[in-house]
This record gives sequence, structure tokens and C-alpha cells, in this order.
Amino acid sequence: MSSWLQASNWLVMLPEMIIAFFALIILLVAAFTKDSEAPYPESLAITGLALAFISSYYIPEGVGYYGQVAVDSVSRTAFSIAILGGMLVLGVVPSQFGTDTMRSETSALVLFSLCGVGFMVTAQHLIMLFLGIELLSLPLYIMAGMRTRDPRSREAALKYFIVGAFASALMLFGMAIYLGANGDLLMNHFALSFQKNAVPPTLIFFAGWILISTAMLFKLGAVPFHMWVLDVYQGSPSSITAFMTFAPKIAAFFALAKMWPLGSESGLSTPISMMYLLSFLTMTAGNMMALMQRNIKRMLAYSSIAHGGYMLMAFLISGTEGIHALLFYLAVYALMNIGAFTVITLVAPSRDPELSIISLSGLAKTHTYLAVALAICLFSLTGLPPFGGFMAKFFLIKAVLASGNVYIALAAIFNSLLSAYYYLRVVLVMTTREPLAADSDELISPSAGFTSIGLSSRIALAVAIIGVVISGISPDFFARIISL
Amino acid sequence: MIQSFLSAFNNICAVVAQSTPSMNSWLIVSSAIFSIGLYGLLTRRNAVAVLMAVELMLNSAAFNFVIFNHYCKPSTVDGQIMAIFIIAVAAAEVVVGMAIFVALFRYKKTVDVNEMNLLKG
Amino acid sequence: MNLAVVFTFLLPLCGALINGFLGQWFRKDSGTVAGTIMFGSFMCALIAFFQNQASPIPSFTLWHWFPISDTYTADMRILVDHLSLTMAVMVTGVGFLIHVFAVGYMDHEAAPERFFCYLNFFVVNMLLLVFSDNLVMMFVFWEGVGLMSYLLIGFWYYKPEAASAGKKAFVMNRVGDTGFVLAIFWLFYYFHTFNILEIAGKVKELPESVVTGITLLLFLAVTGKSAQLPLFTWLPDAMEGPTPVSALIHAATMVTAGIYMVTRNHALFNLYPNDPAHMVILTVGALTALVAAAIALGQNDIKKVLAYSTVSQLGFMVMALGVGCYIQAVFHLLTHACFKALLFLTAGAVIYGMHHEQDMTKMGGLAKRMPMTAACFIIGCLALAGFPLTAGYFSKDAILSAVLLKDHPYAWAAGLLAAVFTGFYSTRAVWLTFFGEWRSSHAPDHIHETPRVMLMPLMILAVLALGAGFAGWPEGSGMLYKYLEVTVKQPELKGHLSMANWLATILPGLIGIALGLFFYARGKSPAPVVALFGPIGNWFVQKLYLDEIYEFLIVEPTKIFAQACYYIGDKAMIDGFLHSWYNVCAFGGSRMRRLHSGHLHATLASFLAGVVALFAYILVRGY
Repeated sequence: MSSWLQASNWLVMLPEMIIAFFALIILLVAAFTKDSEAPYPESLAITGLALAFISSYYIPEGVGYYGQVAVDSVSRTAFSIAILGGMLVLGVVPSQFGTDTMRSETSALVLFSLCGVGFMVTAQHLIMLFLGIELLSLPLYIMAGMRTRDPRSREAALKYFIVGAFASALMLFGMAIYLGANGDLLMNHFALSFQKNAVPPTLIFFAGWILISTAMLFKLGAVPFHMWVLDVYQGSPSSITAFMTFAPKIAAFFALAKMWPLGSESGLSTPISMMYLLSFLTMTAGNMMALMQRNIKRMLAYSSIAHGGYMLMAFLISGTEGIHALLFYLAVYALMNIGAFTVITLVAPSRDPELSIISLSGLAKTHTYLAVALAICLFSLTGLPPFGGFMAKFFLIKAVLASGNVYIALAAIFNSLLSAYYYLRVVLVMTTREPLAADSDELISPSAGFTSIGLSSRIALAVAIIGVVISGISPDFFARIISL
Repeated sequence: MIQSFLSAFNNICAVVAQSTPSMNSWLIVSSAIFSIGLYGLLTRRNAVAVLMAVELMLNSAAFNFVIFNHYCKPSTVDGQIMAIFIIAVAAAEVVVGMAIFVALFRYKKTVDVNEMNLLKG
Repeated sequence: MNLAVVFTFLLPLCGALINGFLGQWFRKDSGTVAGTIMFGSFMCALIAFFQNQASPIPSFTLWHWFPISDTYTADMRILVDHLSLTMAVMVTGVGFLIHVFAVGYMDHEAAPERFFCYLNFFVVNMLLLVFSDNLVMMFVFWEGVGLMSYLLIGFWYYKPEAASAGKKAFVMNRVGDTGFVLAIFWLFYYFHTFNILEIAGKVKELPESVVTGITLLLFLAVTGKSAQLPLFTWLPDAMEGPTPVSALIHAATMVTAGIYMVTRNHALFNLYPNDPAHMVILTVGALTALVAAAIALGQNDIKKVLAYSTVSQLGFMVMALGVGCYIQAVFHLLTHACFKALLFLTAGAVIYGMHHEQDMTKMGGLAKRMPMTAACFIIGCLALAGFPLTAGYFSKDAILSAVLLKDHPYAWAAGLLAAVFTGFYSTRAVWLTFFGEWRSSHAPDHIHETPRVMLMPLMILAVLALGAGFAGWPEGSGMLYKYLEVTVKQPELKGHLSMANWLATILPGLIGIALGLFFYARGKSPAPVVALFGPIGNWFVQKLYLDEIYEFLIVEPTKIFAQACYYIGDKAMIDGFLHSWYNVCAFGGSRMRRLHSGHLHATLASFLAGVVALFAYILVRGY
């Protein structure tokens, strides 16, 4: 028994185990208490995540479970970004659901989902990858439909579920082909096949590779696998949308990084040009369609597609520089989106449930702090200094330029310019338009919005905003925080 | 009557077991199942039918795992384990899916996916 | 990392954050918090100053900002040396006194925490500008002080004049900042570094024409920030801000940032002391000193007089820069900070006592009702006019004799004339405000001595205005010269002034004062300036018609040019390009949106199409 434990090196999965354990505890507590008595399940969940975060400091890097998972600094950093983001989202969840039911369930589901992220970023075997992606997705399907009274939420859940199941089916078909091409399901065949001077992979290998990659591209919302993003982001409860913007992206990006040749390190030109096209299409289509949006959540959904496009550029860079830029980008991106969606969560109840951009009119007057927070997030999403979004884009585009891909870097810069149009329009609406009539009774003091919202979401928002600012002012310091 | 039917069935089984069909013929079967699933997914309007179509695709994938395992590397069990996992996960997926359908049906009194048009644009 | 230095700017930052985020819960005490914090900051600056005396404090990096090239990283790096510490002590010291004054001055304000938040934040920006070790960081905080100046000028944003004055300051400074940015780029092109000391080390490699170009661009930034001709008109308008702001930003600290910047980069300016750039600097300085002093003669608004006087004094400093005497410029900067802050604060006290009346023709005889304030104001005016042995005397004398020793008699003469004017308008301001008869229609009963919280800073500044000059005495070898020479290497002044020249340097101030007394102290009611000088006086009142000349020569042609630019450049080309780009994108976007009908089958079909496309790509291209 002990030899099995030693051989399996089970410690590498300790953070995932802690998270799953706490998720089960929360479900148990919820099962034996009435909904109204459930004592802040989020705090339990956040404790679990904090423990998992701390434990990831101490677990050794290395391979575990007979080569099925491997922890290295990149996967560890990616996972801790997801954990930290999850903690912030859990801070916002109480404001979303209030005294409603479902808070225990939501907390547990967020934890399970994060567990799936952990599986995916550490997976070295396609079974782990499959389990990870399902563990990540199934809770997300449920959470998308968590706003039970809203038909949009249920519709989002349905669409997400069916498209997601379709993606899983395609991925499984690809994995089967991969098995046929390689004889086993270890993921290192990708790296081996894409080595320089390796024997060129067979067509059947490529078929499996495309199908598996497709599922990852679907998760991160690359064009043309992006359509679910819009409907799901719009329909889901806003705090859950915040979670959806980063958790699946982190998992998918680092799973994809294990199965895709980075830059020109393989001798093959097709994967490079394919990624070039995908990245260009994703960022351009995302930005172009965001221009026409009247709904703020849908606009942010398109923007997250566009950001996914920028991030895909990281795959054009050989070596570790691209991956590091991607990590930084994802961390800042998670914070910006958490900030923006938190503000939307807090503002939504008193305003138009459709959440058109116009409904944010005069937010600077009615909820000054929230408006400032949202403005900082939007400036950062645009990529203006001194906020983190600028640094993230700066590092990524610099690395892309250094790798010699000038045109895609130019495209990214022009796309950023274009994106200023729709981001800053929201700021304009918040500051220059008069508040809508329905809000005028809230005009008690500029800080009215600040005191009437829940403490935990206030803290989460503050942390997100501080993170966005710090990452722009001192990226070194920020990188040290997230990369342990 | 039953006796003769069973013996006929036994004979058929014996014939099938003795002949060794090529991997390709198995793959054709699984691809056919996959295609049926794909077709159903793209044409069916009833969400439950769509879910069934997805299940067909999952099963064809599981089928493929077993086939490739058997023909490419019979000494290992990777594919077979994967097939078992797929069955388990598919069950979980059906549970989630049906729950979502029921929630939606309560509100809309229909599970026609073409009626899902609140989110668009 | 030296803690005293760090806390010097960290404390005001904390103060700004506290007042900004929590201030609304202790409105009444927000000024006390800000003032206490400024005191701490001042103490830290002093500690750092004396530590540096004992053993030099090394420069240190706060944090790495971002890598610009493989060899150079833009850092937040603090440069501690004699020059920056002197400036830091001045900024925090004067800043502290002005904060204390503002506690009294802003006590009727509805939201003082906003004011003190801005004020503290200004101090942070100013300190980091002073401590900057590279040009990028300096530029960031150069913009930072500009932003805070904009916010503070427009503090009473509901007054349209205040709002537009803030805008004017901001826009005119942008003109100068363009020069700064271009100079920075130009330097980076040659040296691949922004570090000021590294540039100073390598600067000899540059050809003369390049140095002239860069120094002229830097000087363009100075004309904006330090209110020189032709970009000075924003400063008088900036008087719309609360008076402590005028004292701190538009007299003592921010407007002298240009002087500091040139001194900081003196290696660059020292390189070719006879190039055209120096002629430009000297001429602009002398003209500014003269023109602004002349305009000040005709102003009736007490703050406007002081504003033009600030412009004129800044002109003196720029003259010193033009002849390469940086220490003299910094010396005048320091004494000017003391007496001009004093003058603005006493003016503020008068305005406070008069319930926001600023017109001097409606004052008079206030010395009886507010004797301490009057005494302070008179001391400030004496220092400003360069009365012998006051602070202004030493520093102005140093500049004028340096200009003469460098053999620039015309600039020297302009300076002398400006000094006469200075004496005259200061006497005029004193007399109109504090002596003679009460001239307002309201009864003066409600006017009483300034509250003590506002008086204390005045008295401390008055002592400084009297005594600070001895730091630079004797000329060329005084304490300040010895101290700053370690950092600022400037060519020695050769030769000595003859007695007649020396007399000619100190006399103008006295002549100005005497003239002022002669014209104003005689009669009961003051003669208007027009009566004294005839038609020329009218010029002074009308600000030498500079606004009109600008209107005719610059604003109108600029408007036409701007219209042309607007229609051809902006509308047709930039907007045309951007809008057509936007239209293309928006059109494409709206077309693409139709695909996003929300139908599940459309989503699935696009998914499948994507997979097929990837397969097709591989099959067509091979791998």
C-alpha cells in the first residue's frame, strides 16, 4: 500500500484533492441544513481554495499517478491563477443570489469546476484530460442555468450543454483516433511528433489532433467555435459569467499548449499558419461584432473572444517567453473580467434586466465607486497604461514581434485601437448621460452604491481593481504574487 | 420452437465468433453510428432527441476506443478503460441535460430548440 | 532603499488615499490629517537631507516597471543627491505650511477631503518628479503634476471660469510637453537609455546641432510648465483655483519644475554654452521677466498681480539658465518659493477676510484691521522687490550679476527694468491693500485679523523670506553654492563687478519702491495707473494687449489653420480613415451578427464548419 502511495506520488494532486474535499463538505452541510440556515457556504469554499493555494506552494514539481499528471511551474501558476480568480468570484456570489437558495450548490460547483481546471492543466494522459474537461464543464452547464427564475438563464444552460456535449463527442472521437495512431493515450506523443527532425506524423494522427484541439479551441471561444460564448455569457448569472470568462480559458490554453507546437520549434509550417489564421480571425471577428453590441454582457462576451484571439498569438512564439506572457495575460484578464462582471452583478438588480449599455447611464453619479471600478476595468481591457491590460498586451506583442510575426502583431494593435471604441463608449455613457429616471431616487450621496452592496463583493471588487492597477504599475511584483 | 430459435442463434454466434472481421468493417459501423448521431444533432428540433443524438456520437467514440485498442495494441487496456469512463461520464451528462430540459420545459412547455430565441444578436 | 526618502513621498500618497477613500467620513478633519501627514513627510525629507550630509545616500530602485528593450528597463528609480534633496525639503516644507494654511482657508468648503486628497497627491507627484532618475519617470510625474494642477484649478468646477482656466492650463502645457516627449525620443535614439546620469556621462558624443535641437525641445517644455513667453497666459488664468493651490502649485513648486528639469539635465545644456539655444533661453527669460512685470503694473486683482509677478520671477530664473548659472537659478527658485508662497498666502488671508473680494481698488486701510497679515505681506513684497538683505535681494542680485559677468548687457538691462517694475507694483499692491482709505461700498466692520491657524504659516514664511537669502551669501561661495556644486557642475564665473555695476544691480528695486511710494502714498485715493503713465499705462492695464495680439497673431491664424486641419486632416483624413475603417468593421460586424441568430443549429453548424475547414486546411496545405 505504502509503495503504491510512493509510486503514485499522490501529493502532486493535493490541491485538487483539497478542493474536491471541501466541495463535498459543502454539499453535505447543505444537505443537512435548511437553505436559510446555511452558514455562508462561500466562506467554507474560500477557505478550501486558500488551503489549496497554500498547499500548491509546498507540493513538489514532478510526475504523479504513473505518468498521468505532471506538475511544473507553468501548470502550477495557471492553476493558482484559476484558484485566486475562483476565490474572488465566490466573494461575489452572495450578492448575486442574495438570500436565495443555491448558494451552497453554487459554491460546491465552482469548486468542482476548479478541480477540473487542475486536472486539465496537469494532465499528461488523455483520460485525465477528458475527465478534467467534463469536470470543468458539467458544473458550468448547471451554473449557467442557476438563475432559475430567468428564462434566459435556462436557455443559456441548454445551449451550453448541447454544444458542449457535441464538443466532447468530437473530442472523444479524436482521442479514439489518437489511440489508433499511437497505440496509447499518453499526451507526450504530441510533443514527440512535433519535435524538430521527428518523423512527420501520419494523417490519422493529424485527424485526432485536430479533433482534440477543436474541443480546446471551443472552450476558449476561438472563432468559428465561439457562438456559444455570446449566448452563455449573456444568459448566465453575471458572477458565474465572470468565472466562465477565465476558468475554461486557463484550462483550455494550457491543455492546448501541451498538444500544439509552439512557434517554429517543430519543422511543420501548417500548425503555425493555422494558428496565425485562427488568432487573426478570432481577434478581428470578436472586435468587429462587439462594435455593434447594445447589451453590455454580450459586448463583454465578444470582447472576451477578441482577447482569446490576442492570447492565441502566444502559440506563435517558441520557447517559454510566449507561455509566460500568456500566463500574465490570463491573470490580468481574469481580474479585469471579474471586476467588470462584479460591477454588472451589483448594478443589475436596480436597473434594466436586459442590461443594455444605455441602462448604465449616469452610473458615475449614482454609484461613483462602481463606475470608477468599471471604468478602470474597461480602460484596462482596452489596453491603456497604467493598468494591467496594457502590460499584458505589451509583453505579449513584444514577444510576438521578437519571434518575427510582424503582421499579426500589427493586427493585434489595430484591433486594440478598434476595441477602444466600444469600451470607452461605456465609460462615456456612464459619465456624460443623465441617470435614468428609475435611479434618481438613489441619488442620495455619491457613495450610496458603495455602502449598499455586500461586504464580500466589495472586497472582491477592490482586490480585483487593485490587482489590475498593480499589474500595470509593477508587473514584476504582480508576477511574483501569481507565480508563487 | 424456442429451442430451435435458440440453437439457430447459437449457430449464428458461433459463425460470428469464428470469422475475424477486419478493423475497417468495425470502423465503418462506428462511423455510421457517429454520422447518424451527427445528422440527428443537426436536424432534430426536440432537445431530448438532440441529446440522444449526442449519446450516439459518444457511444460511437467509445466503440472506436475498444476497436483501436483491440486491433492496434491488444496488450494494453487504455481504450477499454476509456470506454468505461465514457459510459460513466455520459450518464452524468444525461442527468445534467435532463435536469436542464425539465427546468426549461416547466417554463416553456416545450423543449423545441428552435423556440430558444431569447439570446441572440 | 533609504526609508526616510521612501517615506517622504509614501506618506503623502497614504494621505491622498486616506482622504480620497475614507475622507467623507471625517470631512471636518481631512485637512488636519493631510497637514499632519505633510509634517511627517517634511520631517522625513529633513532626515534624508541630514543623512545625506553625513554619508551620501545611494540611488535605489523602487521597482522595475517594464522592459523597453533587451538592454534597458524602465524602472521606478529614485535618484538621491544634493539637488533632489534640496528640492524635496523645499517642496515638503512649503507644502506643509500651505497645508496648514489651507485647513483654515477651506473650512467653509462642503467637501474639503477632495481638496486635500488632490493636494497631497500633487505633492507625491512633485516629489517623484524631483526624485526621478530617468526621463520616462520624470515625464510621467511631469504629467502627473499637470493633471493635479488641472484638477485643482478646476476645483470649483461649477464655476465656468474655473473649468475653462483648468482646460487652458492643460492644453497650453500639452504644447510644451510635445517638446519634452520628442526630446526624450531623440535622446533614446542616440543613447538607448533614459537614465539621466547615463545620458550625462555619454553626452559628449553628440554633435552640436543635435544638442541644440534637444535643448530647444526641452526648453519648449519649460516654457509650458514654467510659464514663459509665449506660453505663459495660462498661469494668470490659473488663479481661478483656491488660493493655497496658487501658492503651492502656481508659485512655489510646479511652475518651477521646468527650472528643475533643466538643472537636472545641465550636462546637456553645459555642452555648448554659446549655441543658439542658449540665446533663445536667455532672450525668452529676459523678455518674460520684463513683459510680465509690466503687465503686473496695471492689474487690480491682487492674485493677478502676484501671478504676473510669478511669471516675471520665473523669467529671471530662466535668464540664469540661459547663461548657464543653474545654482543661481535654483537659489532664486528657493527664495522665490518662500516669499511668493508668503505673498499668495497673505493675499489668501486678505481674500478670506474680505469674503472672496479680490479687487484691490475695493480694499484699502486693511493694515489697521489685520496688522499681522499686513506685516507679512510687506515683508513678502520687500523680498520680491529685492530690498537689500531680504531673500529676494540676494538671489536676484546673483542672477543679474551673473548675466552681466557673462557679458549679456541687453538682457541685464531688461532685468534691471523688470526689477524697477517689480518694486513699483509690489509697493502699489501693498499700498492699495493695506494703506489709504477703505474704498468698498460695504462697511469694513466684519474684517478682522486672520485666524491663528492661517497666521502661523505666514509668520514662518515671513522669517524665511527675510532670512533665506543668507544661504547663498556670499555670492558664488555661499553655503548653498558649496552644497549644490557637488551635484551641479557649472562653469565658474570669471571677473568681478565694478562698484557702479553693483550699485546698478541693487538700485532698481529701491527706485521702484520709491516711485511707488511717490505715486501712491501721497494722495488719499490712489491714482489709476493710466493717469500715471498716460497711454503707456493703458497698455499695462490691458496686459500689453498681449491677449489681443495673441488673438490676432496666433489664435485667429491658428483657428484658420485649425479649421483647415480639422476639415482636411481630421475630418477628411483621420476621421475619414477611422470612420471608414469603423464603418467597414461595423458593417462586417452587423453582417456577422446575422449568423448569430441564437439558433442552436446555427451554432452547431458553424462548429462543424470550423472542424471541416481545419481538416480541409491540412489536406490542402499538407503538413
